[in-house]
Amino acid sequence: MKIILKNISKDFAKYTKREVDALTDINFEIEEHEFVSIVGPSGCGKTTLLKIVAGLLKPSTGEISYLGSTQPSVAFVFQDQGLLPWMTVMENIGLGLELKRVPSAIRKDQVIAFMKRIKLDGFQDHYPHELSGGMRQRVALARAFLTNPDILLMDEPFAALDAQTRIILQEELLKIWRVERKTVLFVTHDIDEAILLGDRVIVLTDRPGRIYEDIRVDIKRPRDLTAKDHPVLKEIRWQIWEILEKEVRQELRLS
Amino acid sequence: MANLGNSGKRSTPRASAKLNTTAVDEFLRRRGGLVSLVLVLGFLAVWEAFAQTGKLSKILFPAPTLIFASFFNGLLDGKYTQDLRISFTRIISGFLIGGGAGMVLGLLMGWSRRLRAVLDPIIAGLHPIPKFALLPLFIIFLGIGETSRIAMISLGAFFPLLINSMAGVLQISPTYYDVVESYGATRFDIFRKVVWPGSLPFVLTGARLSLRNALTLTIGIEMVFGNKGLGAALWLSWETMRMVDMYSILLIVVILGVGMVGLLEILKRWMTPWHQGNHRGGSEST
Repeated sequence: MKIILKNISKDFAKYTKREVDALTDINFEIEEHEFVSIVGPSGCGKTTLLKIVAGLLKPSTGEISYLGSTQPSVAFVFQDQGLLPWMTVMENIGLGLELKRVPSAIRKDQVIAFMKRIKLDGFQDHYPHELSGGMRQRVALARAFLTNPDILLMDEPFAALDAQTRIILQEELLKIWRVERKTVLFVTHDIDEAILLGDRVIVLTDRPGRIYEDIRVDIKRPRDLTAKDHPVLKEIRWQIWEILEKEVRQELRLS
Repeated sequence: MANLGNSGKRSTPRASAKLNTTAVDEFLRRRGGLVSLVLVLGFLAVWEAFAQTGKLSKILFPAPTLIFASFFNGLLDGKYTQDLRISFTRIISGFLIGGGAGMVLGLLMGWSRRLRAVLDPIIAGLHPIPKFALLPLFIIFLGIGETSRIAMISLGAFFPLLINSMAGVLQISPTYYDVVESYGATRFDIFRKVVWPGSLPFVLTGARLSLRNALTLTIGIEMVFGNKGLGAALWLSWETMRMVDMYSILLIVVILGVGMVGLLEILKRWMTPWHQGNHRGGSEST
């Protein structure tokens, strides 16, 4: 399924005075099974963009079309608080399927099989507060992939984790995605992460958010962590940094 | 020399005091309940001794052994059964009617910004009124029958559940709504997966406070008018100077209150096992 965003803008001025999180003139296409990373300074509307694609927010202008599906199914992975604290790990993983009205017997089988696959078995009766941050995000990933979505939307899913855990989960995500090819929109402020995971990196600038650059990442798949040393990654890293540095300096009144 | 001795003396007691403090804390943490029990038993023993030796008025403060004997005899021969049943029915009726309405309205007000905007000022204005002060009004409108009693008790149970249920919904992280909505949740799904379980710890805290209010109002109303129920029996025993009876009934009221609140506490632990680790509790608003 291909996603086309045409002239998307989002304006919150009607309700609040905030300039942040607004979007203007967003045009891009996402091919089926493409992994698109989005980086940008905080407040540039990255989350807003994801929520628009997810249908959680309506754009002020413009339209999104989905080629090949009338009613695309989405799964959202949040930075934190993506798990409902009153549900066990098993209930949380099955939540997406449950809301999509998958009968409970089938759901249970699928959840158990997937938990085994990503080695979460044994934790089914734990509550989220009993897990580490990294484990919680693995559960969130499991839930998202298990609903077999057309589009996977990830909003800085690893941002709250320590650096080591983040690396492991990046690898885990690549591993799952290698098998379960989804169309992915992945928001992050970690430039290396954006390049390592993405087929493309879209750089947003802020107030209001607009697309500054759309960079193709020519590192062959399947990728693993060794791609972090790939010359292409290093080259793109500085290209993106130059754009973002300007933005951040302006924000900090340093330029 | 003197200085040196002084400083040495000063530091030693301080260090040992610190050690003692932690030891005491440790003991109290583990055996605090035991200390409370000893205190209570000690109080009763002193009371008993004073009553037996005639240092206390036997009429106003009869010996605890007498009270307990009367209490158990009364329970066994069913002396208090009718009053207990009547009071209990009133408490539970008021709790279910008023508390139930408060919970439903509180959840709706937490969920709907519009409803909150309209009703919040009204609630804020009515809530601080001491409900007991409205008794004459209730009698005017509803008569002196059972209806006005239940209505008053219901009103007392209404506010704590309303306010805590609303607070319970309001403290739910907006992300949880996004989670279920991204999977296409219906409004009913949102209620049963997010609003209800998310606010439940606060709802149950509200229920405890509502129940307590219902008990207080029931006993109070029974004392003021009517001749049935624990409150009425308590007042009658006081007026006729049957103090042993009065203390027995008081004991029943205490046990009833502690028992009901304790049951709710157990219910809370059982219904919200996920809430144990991150104790945020509910706002203690009566």
